[in-house]
Amino acid sequence: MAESFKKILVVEDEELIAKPLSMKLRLSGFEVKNAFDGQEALENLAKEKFDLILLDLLMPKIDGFGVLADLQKKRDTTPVIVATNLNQAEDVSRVFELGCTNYYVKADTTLDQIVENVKKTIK
Amino acid sequence: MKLNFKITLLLTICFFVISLAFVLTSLSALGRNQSDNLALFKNEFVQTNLEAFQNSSDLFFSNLDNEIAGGKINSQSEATAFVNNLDPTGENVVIIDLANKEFSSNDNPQLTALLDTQTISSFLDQWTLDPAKNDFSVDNLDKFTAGVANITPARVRIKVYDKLGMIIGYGKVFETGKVRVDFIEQQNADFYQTYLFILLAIFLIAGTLIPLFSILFMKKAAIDPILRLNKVTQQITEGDLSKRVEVRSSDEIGELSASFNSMTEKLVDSNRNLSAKVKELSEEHGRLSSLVESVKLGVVMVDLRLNVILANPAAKAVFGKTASKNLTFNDLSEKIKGSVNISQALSYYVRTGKPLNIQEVMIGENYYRLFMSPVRDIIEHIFIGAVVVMEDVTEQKKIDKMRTEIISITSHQLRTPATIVKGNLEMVLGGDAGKINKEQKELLDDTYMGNERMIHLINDLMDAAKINEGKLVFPLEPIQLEDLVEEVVVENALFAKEKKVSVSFTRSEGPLPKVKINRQRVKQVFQNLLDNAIKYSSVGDKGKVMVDLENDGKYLRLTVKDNGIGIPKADQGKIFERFSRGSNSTKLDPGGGSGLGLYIAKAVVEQGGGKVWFDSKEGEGTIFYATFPLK
Repeated sequence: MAESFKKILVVEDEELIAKPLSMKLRLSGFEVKNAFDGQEALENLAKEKFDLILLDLLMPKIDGFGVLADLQKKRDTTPVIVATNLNQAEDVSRVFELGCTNYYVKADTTLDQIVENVKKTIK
Repeated sequence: MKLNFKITLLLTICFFVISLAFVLTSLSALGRNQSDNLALFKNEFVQTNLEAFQNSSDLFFSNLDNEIAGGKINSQSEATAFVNNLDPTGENVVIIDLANKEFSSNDNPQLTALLDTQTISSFLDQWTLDPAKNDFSVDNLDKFTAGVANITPARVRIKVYDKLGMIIGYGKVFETGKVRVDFIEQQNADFYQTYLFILLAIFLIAGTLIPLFSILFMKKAAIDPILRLNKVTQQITEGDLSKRVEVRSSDEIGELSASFNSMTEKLVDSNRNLSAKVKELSEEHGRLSSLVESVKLGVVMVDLRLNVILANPAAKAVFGKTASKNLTFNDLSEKIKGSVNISQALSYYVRTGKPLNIQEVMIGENYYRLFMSPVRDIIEHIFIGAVVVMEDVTEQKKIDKMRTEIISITSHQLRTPATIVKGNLEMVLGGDAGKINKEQKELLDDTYMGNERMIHLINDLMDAAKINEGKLVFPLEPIQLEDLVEEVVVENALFAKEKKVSVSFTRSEGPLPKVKINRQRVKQVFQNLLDNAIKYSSVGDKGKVMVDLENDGKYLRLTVKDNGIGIPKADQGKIFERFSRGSNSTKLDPGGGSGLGLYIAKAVVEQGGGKVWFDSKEGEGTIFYATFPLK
């Protein structure tokens, strides 16, 4: 039964943001694992496989760009949805170049919208 | 001196010529008189005298009684006989030849017999007494007549000739035997001659004296005052304005002198005024110069050909020139880098006469804001050039940049707590954290809205900061604009219903061409315009918003028209500026609106190559227009 749950890695340094997001995802039927910086995320990714990664950009140690770059290097094709508060055009284009699937500005997006998109992506 | 001499010489020559003419005329007249005129005179005399002589016969007879005395004719009868003996047809003439001292009668022997030869001889002796003088005075005549007392009276005419054969007198023989000879001719001729000589003398004297006196008079009356005037004029010209001409007469020269003096007074007056004015002007000039010299702004004045007329030390420093060196226009244009061509800008100004503000120009390492204003000629009011004021805004720009960065960073930082609030509230409101009651939901809804507004504000602030930095750039993609507009209209339907505002959407028939825009940004712009229109027309329940999208061939033109409160005239000029809100907007939008929406809208539309503008009348409504180029 547990195998049928889709596994999502939520990479978010801000615990207070990660908490409702993870809660919403779990309530929506996903298995959620949290990482609080880029390094932790990469460690988790090395250990197990995820169906989707929700990635913040500004984080300590290794930031979101670093995580994306590493995934690209390893030819890891796990879909990545970037949910950040960076909204500069250059950041957006850079993130897409690094192979992200979708991009959300957290402050402008509801949890529902993100969950909907997650569902759509890993269907 | 020259004029004086010339006038004197001229006058002298004039008078000399006149005098000479006079003398010559007189001399020639005299010459003629000696012949013609004298002859004429003589003839006239003869004529009249003869007449008188003939007429005198009446006298002769009437006075007979009284006149007969002595002589050979002693009685009336003798006298009658004498007369009868006279040749009534011949000329009873006694010829007295003064030259030969002879006398004779004509062929009348009786007459010759009657002549008292002795008496006549004595007359002739007398004549010889002073022949050179040729002077027959009355005294001489009396003696003569006395001398011929014994001549028998007869009706005799006597002609007296001078040495030259000219008749010099006529004689009458009275019955008393007296002969009266009138030497009038000679006397008259003599007188005439004398008269001519006197006249000549007068002419000569007058001819000499009149010019002389005239010159002296002229010198005194005209030349001397003119010389004095000249001298004073020279002194005044040399700067001695205290000099005046002495007024000595009341004639024209005097008047001239007086006028000259009053002119000099006026000159002194106006000179004084002028000096005061010059002093005032030079003081003002000094003040202005020191102002221009000391001001930290670079000031360059150029003429119509863009030559530098004036540049203050600050301006010279901008272009790396020392204060002592002149600045040329080449120095300006060579040093100016960046997108603005200063010479073009100046030409534009010179051509159109409109002042031009160039926002920022980079010169060397620094940024300058340039202001170009017209320079007009003070008197003619024509354009003679431009003044370029250069304000060093490098520091300002640094501060501005810093501020923008601060806004950017802080707004980013602000997003995190706003996101936390947003996420958690969403969970609670969605019932994911358990059931909440109606009151709780209402309160949390308001909290959620407040948080949304805060996020909106933060976003606007960030956008504004980016626009200000010139960094608001976003990818453009071909979009079906009518779909986007419809989407926004639909999304706002609930909000419009809440505000009791009807929203209609019309557009050109058929599918419209796609326009290259940034979907998200243009949606934001349209959302903003529609939101404003609904908000500001929500007075009563007659609010009406009409959205229209038309294809005019070059552009797609979006119109958002409302019948709301309008924008007060005083606010209209700055409505697209940062943090600008209509002064009447707060009532319908309490606490809301960053005053950045239209500022961002303008930047977004202009980045896409379009324009945003509006028409508005306070109390009647507003129409906003936005164009999107089709190319």
